[in-house]
Amino acid sequence: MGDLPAVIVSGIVSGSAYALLALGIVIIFRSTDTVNFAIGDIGTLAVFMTATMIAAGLPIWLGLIAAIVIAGLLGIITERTLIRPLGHSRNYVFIALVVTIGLGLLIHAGIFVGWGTRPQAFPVLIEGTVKMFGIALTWNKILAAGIAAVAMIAIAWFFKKTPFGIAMRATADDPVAARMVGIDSGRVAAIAWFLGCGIAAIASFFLAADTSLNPNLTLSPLFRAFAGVFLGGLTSMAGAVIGGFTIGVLDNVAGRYISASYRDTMVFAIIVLVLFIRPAGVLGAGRKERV
Amino acid sequence: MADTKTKGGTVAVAGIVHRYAGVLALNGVSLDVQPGTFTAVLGPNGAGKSTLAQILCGVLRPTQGSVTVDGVARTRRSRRAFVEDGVVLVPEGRRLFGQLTVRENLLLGAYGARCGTVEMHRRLAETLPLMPRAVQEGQERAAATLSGGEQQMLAVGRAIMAAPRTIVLDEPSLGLAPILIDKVYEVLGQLNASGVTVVVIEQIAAHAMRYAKSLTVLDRGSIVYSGSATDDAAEEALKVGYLGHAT
Amino acid sequence: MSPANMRRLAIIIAGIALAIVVGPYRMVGDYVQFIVAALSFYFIAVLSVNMLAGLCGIWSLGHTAYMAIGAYTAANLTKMGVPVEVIVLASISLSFVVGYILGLSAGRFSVLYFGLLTMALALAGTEIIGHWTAVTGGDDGMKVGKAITLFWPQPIETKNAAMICVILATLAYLVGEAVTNSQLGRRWLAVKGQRIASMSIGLKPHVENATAFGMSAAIASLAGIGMAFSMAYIDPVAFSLDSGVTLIVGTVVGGIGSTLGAVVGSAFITAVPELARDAQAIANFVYGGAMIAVLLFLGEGIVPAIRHRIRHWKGRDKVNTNVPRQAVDAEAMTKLVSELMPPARHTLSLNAVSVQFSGLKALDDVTFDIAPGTAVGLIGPNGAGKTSLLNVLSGFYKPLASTTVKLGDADILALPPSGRAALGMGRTFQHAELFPELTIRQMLLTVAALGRPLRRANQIALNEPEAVAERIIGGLGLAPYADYMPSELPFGVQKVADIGRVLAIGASVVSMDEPFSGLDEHERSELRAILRGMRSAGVSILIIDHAVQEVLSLADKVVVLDFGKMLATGEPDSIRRNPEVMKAYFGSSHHVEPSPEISTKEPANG
Repeated sequence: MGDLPAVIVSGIVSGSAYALLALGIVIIFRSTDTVNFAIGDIGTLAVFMTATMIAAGLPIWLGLIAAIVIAGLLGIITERTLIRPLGHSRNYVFIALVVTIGLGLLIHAGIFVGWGTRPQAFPVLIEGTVKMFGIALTWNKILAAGIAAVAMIAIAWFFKKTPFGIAMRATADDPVAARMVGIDSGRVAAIAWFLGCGIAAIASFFLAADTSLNPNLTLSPLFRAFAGVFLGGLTSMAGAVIGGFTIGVLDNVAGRYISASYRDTMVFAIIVLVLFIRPAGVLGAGRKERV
Repeated sequence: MADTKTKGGTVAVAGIVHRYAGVLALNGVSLDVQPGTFTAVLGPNGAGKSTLAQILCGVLRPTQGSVTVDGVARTRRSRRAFVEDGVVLVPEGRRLFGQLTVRENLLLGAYGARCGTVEMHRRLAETLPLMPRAVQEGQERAAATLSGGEQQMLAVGRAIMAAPRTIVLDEPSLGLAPILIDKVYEVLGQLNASGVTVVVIEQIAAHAMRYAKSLTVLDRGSIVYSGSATDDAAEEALKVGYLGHAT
Repeated sequence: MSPANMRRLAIIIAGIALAIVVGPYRMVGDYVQFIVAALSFYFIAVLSVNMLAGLCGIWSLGHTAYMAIGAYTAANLTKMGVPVEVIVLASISLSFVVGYILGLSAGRFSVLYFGLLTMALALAGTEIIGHWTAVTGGDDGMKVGKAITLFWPQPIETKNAAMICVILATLAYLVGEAVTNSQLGRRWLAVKGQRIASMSIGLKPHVENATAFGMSAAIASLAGIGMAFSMAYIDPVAFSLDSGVTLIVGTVVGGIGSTLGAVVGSAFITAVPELARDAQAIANFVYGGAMIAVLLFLGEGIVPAIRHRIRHWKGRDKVNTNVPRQAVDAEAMTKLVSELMPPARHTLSLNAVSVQFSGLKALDDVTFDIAPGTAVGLIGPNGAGKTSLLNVLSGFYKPLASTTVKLGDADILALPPSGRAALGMGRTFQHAELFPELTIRQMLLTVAALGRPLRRANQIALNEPEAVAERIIGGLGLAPYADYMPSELPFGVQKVADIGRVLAIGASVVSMDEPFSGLDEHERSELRAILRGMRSAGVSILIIDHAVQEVLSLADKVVVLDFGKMLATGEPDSIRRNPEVMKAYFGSSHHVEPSPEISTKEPANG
């Protein structure tokens, strides 16, 4: 067990991508009750677009900002054109879910048409590696974790301290009352989708820098992000971040010490166990039932 | 902020018809709320009172009829209610943001009225003295942890933060002990004395009648009385409104 | 023949006809056989998910696990020469058991969380399939032998197995229709719509959910069997997470809670990718785009949207709320109640009821009796503990160990919420809490069927659910509203229907939570008559209400709570004069003046 610290550190580093995606999922869910299955694909599409710009000479750090903005705008367009028109029927949650599945397929097809099937090369942000607890971590990964941390702190500040952030939390709490005090629900939804998809683009960006750019970039991280969301609680932003990191660590620990081939089963077994103790996730709001 | 002091003093609705999924809730209601008055809208349950309150404040868009604020037609606007126009609703059941802090709840009242940060904190300092102790001292508490009476006062406080010229309260006494209802009405009386138009919607007449100068009685979607709250006609109208003509 | 039976017959004939067409007589080509087989087994799978979502509100993302059970059971048993009929029995039993166990916990979680749980199971399933090579063949998949059946002399060729798929699909369709239109389906809808209220009529939500999940899993396993025989080879990819999500797509696109919707939905997920197969580049465009388009333009899915349009076009008329209801008088009510239940025989005694929440006593040593056939009123300012007491009686709060609550000799507290209805205890709700997806008639029918054992034990002559429901509908003046959903009805009618529900279960000890709240004067006076009628028929009533005047005028005895403690108890007159009570309500001790709106009609001391 001598390499446990190393396994944990690399788990935290890979967990930062899960935590970002998880945070994006939760921000969008809280504002519009939509489980966005297309969040990873929107981020990936934005990174494909910026990759083309970077290849044409755009500085890489501007590329990151461009990816965030493009994904955010795609998010706003999605909410306006596909989600809002659904209205609020009884089975809204699952109808919206299927719409985002459909959108994911469309984006996949779009990437296929625009860039073909072969993985694209993506520039590395910083060269080199560093040794930590006896394992080599690329500077690329460490930078990714650092920027992820900064993004999460910025989001926390936004929701806690700015009036608009408070208004967004109020809308998540009681949307009808929010309208009654004069909060513009349309703007809240738009900003939530912008933020959610924007931070998903950060995750996609670093995932691409870490390996290569391909249409299935976020497939498996998104799946782990969902696991993190459920672990932490679908309604809690802090829970999503903690959940994302926890999954990163659990995944690495299970893969290293238990069995590489039953990795997913192990991770999910732990989540199921936690959910039986806390049915709404570790930090999620309990169900309100009228007696 | 001189601007907000002049906006939203007069709210009027005319020929309002409203249906929920086809079920008639209001049938041809017209009401002029004069600036600076204290109006009680009374009526038995199912009379359409809450519907009227929501239409007055722009929370609900009527099926038919017109709504004007300061003489300007506002029928089509409903996404952000009329808060910016100086008309604020204190909804039935209070509808505070339970998971947010007391302070955040109050600040949101001002935020909804498109008010800047400095003004927001100035209003907070003005509003807090009107609030019960638990609200003043527990600003970082989650609003849901307050008692029923404290929550009702906080809901009134949140509305005051918008610096309204007209404040509409939907059943502020619901579920409160009489002693707490008195406290709520005391604050409403103070507000009215400072020039704010007050409209209370109530099912139980007793408290509202003590403060209101004008009275509107609603029964099954129509106005059956509208006028002074003090003369005999008003008393007769109440009886009829609640009991029907059989008595 | 009833329309329902006509429909069943039509389905059977259509199923047999299709089975013959795709069967061994070579009437169609291989491709058509393959498509019909795929449509059939996807229909079965989508139906199982659709039924569960529509009737129970449980969404399973992992139903592929049960398909896998069916498929691998078929693959392994054919090797031993076991006939299809036995394979079907074995795999539905196995899937039912697994599904039942999982379904027991459905109520613990929110809908999305339970979806995740089923997904986790399916995921674990795929890893198990990958590694348990002896039974599954691992990632390489597994060959399936020819189907042997008891009704056919020789084994069925793989391509002719489409016939098996069609027969299984027909069976699944019949089961789906039967469940939806039966007591079972109505019970599931009741649990789905109002969990708490469903317990008050004696349903055990976790058992209902488990049964539903088990049945749905068993149906899903049929899809796996069909798939195994018609493909002759099992590819584990068919049970991946993607396939589970595809079943959800089929459910939502076709229309939730509709058997016909499952037909359309499965056609969608089978045919759309199949049609776009020649154009790989645009296949995903077509599939994704179609999904979005259907839901954007047809909202609730294809079948419900079409149905809605047809109904709109036919112009079904709305219930007329402008005509006041025929009011029920006390005498008629007494007659109605005595036809449906015996007078209460036992005293409900509450002894030292105490409830504690995180150190705070919500109820402290509350003790009183409700004698048979009397009405006890429970009043007190907000936060006095009235609702807590009701929750103890209904079984949702666990009081401290020193507390006893007995009905006669029976210890109420030892029973779960659902067990109390069998003793003849019932309750009504402040917000009526009717089952949103059942009409008033369906609700009364469902509850009357549940109340059968109690009525039989009490030797009540009127016991057939249909007759009981009709009698209540007539007796409470609900006839014009009986075939409407609660959301279409005025609130006053909903509250009367809630009382109807208590009558249908045959409860002779009834707790009423805020019966007067939300009613206008007209409805209040009717409710007074109903309550008086119930009492004179011998029903014991506990009335909890904010409307103090109403309680004082109706109750034989009044209990006043303040901050969880008993402040006073006695006859209404003595309560009215009790200075302690005045103080709790007004902060000073003046008398409770009858509020003007009631005093003119009914003197408070009447």
